[in-house]
Amino acid sequence: MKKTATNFNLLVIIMSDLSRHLFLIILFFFVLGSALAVIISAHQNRQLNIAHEQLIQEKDALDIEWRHLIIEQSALTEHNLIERAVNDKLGMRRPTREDEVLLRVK
Amino acid sequence: MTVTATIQKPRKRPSKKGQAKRKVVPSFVQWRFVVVLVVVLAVFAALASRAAYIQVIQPDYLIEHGDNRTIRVRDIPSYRGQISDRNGQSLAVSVPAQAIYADPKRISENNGFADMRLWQALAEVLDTNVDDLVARVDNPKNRFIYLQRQVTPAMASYVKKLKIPGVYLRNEAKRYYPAGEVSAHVIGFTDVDDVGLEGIERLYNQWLTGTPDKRKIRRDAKNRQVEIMEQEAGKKAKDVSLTIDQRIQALAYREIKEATVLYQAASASVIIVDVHTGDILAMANTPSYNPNNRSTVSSYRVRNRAITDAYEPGSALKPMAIIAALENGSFQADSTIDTSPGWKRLGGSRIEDSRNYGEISITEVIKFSSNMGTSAMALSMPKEVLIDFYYNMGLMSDTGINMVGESDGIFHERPRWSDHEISSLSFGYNISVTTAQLARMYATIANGGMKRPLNIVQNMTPTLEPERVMSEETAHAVLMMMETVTQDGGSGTSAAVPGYRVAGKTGTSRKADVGGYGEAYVNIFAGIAPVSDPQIAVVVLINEPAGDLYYAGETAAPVFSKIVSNTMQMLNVPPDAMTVDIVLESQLHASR
Repeated sequence: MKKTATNFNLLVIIMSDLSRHLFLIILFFFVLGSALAVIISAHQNRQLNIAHEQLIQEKDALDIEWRHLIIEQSALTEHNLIERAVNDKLGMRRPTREDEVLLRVK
Repeated sequence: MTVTATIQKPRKRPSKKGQAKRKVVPSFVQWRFVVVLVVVLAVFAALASRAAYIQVIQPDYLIEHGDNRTIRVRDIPSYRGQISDRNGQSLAVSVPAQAIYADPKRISENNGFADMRLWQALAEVLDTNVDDLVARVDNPKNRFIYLQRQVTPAMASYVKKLKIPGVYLRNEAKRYYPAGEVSAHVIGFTDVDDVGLEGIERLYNQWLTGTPDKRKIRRDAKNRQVEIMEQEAGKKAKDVSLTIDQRIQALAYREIKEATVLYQAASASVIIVDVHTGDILAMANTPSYNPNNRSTVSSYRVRNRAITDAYEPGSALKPMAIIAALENGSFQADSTIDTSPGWKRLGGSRIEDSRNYGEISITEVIKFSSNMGTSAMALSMPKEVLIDFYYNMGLMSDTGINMVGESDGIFHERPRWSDHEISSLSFGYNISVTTAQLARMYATIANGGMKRPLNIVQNMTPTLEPERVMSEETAHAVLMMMETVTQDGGSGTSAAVPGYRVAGKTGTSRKADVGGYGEAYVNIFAGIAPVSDPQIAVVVLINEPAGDLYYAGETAAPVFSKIVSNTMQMLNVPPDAMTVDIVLESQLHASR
């Protein structure tokens, strides 16, 4: 029986074994990578969803505020109200025919 | 570890020399190994079977419970569309409000009446008696009772803070009408459930109503939405843009409101129509109501009289007889008619003018509003021909607005018309028309004889096509004749508008009563402005003036004048009865 120099260094054995199945190792890392990618994308998806929901709520709040502002604006700018305020407070009146000068530019 | 320790117990007696150095060979104890193996396997088997049980046999139950804690359906409320005027000013807006409701079953389950102070507080904020309130909800068989609809956010948050078990809030919408009574008749209103009941709200109910977006979502422990599972887009509520110009509408309403009080009238209506498009710029009635608070409004105030109420228009219809006579060729624009002696008998009934005008031109027939004159013209052609003109003018049909409650007027087609009936038709009796129909007739004259449907909503396909009902020459001739009405000596001088040429016709008619015509009057002034390039047709109708003034020339005509004067300014129409100073552009800049 020929005596061979057996190397019992564990690290070397592992490395040599790994080098023989390089393809499997690459696959293994791909699996790990894709798993991580799934986790990251799921997380990002959730974050986007949360942000989206917040924006919708913000939009709703703004919409409601807008509606209230429209009512406020319309109530404050009611034409007869303004007409009265302008007459009473500012002493303004509609121009009569005598006030009007009609010009035609040539 | 303990196992190996027991195994390592020495078997052989140790020798005296080198006790510690002796190597002990561990022996294998079969039964211990088996026990350990079985225990370990049993633990794994138990775990695996439990996992299998959860995953395979009973997953539904757990999934359901998980979903119950995380899945929610959220509605994005859809508010009713807005109604705005032609310039985009909002006339009807929905805002969120809340309804307070009670679930009597929950109240009794959770011992809701334990703290009566809460109910006392609730009754106070709802403005009711606490005993009545409790009596309403004290029946565990009921599941849903509205306590109050459309409460303000402040009140809703107060009720929420009371935390009465079984009393909850529900989202809904409240509709506000910023223009209030000014446009109440046109816009109409909705009930508490957001269903349109009157006016545009009813006509465009489907269009204005949307359905909420529904989303099925998954939320996390912090109540954040992390996943949208299903999404169902609702029907979006659409807006309605009216042809009404709110500035004109406001001034028109103010004027007829003042007139109603001044002339002690039962009601009044006004319509302003853009003659080129048929757009209704203003449509107002008195008495009106506040659409934001209808709790005390009687139904007679809600009626849009301008389209629902038909009256015999009296002399305001006289241009029809002239149009028919001119179109038929039985009279020319420069013909004269002998109206002396100012009265005549037709089939036992008397037709008369207010005085004997003698031989007058057709223009003067309109100017003085001569019954004798129009009677002669109406009788100058076959009766069917005359009546066909009335039909073609749209006086017996709808105006095209399609609004709820619109009347087509009242006209009884008879197989045989007596001469007296035809004569009366020529000065506006035996036919009843609405203010809107009359406005359409005047708009047609102003538009050079092209009859257009009236419309009140922008960008809607018209229901009727424009149609020529008289020649342009006839329309122009009648317009010129009607201008004399507002000039010196005419019957409607107070309708004159400073700076503008206006044409029009007064109409004072007695209202038919049981057994004849009574002492109640309808005053109408229908007119067109400006004459040189007609833009608007305006009809002012004052119903049953009870004061000293009851002639249209004294009531409706001045109101017409004020409304047209202001409307011309609003629409920026250049005055056509003023001298125009011609300046060169260079002069204009130099003077700045």
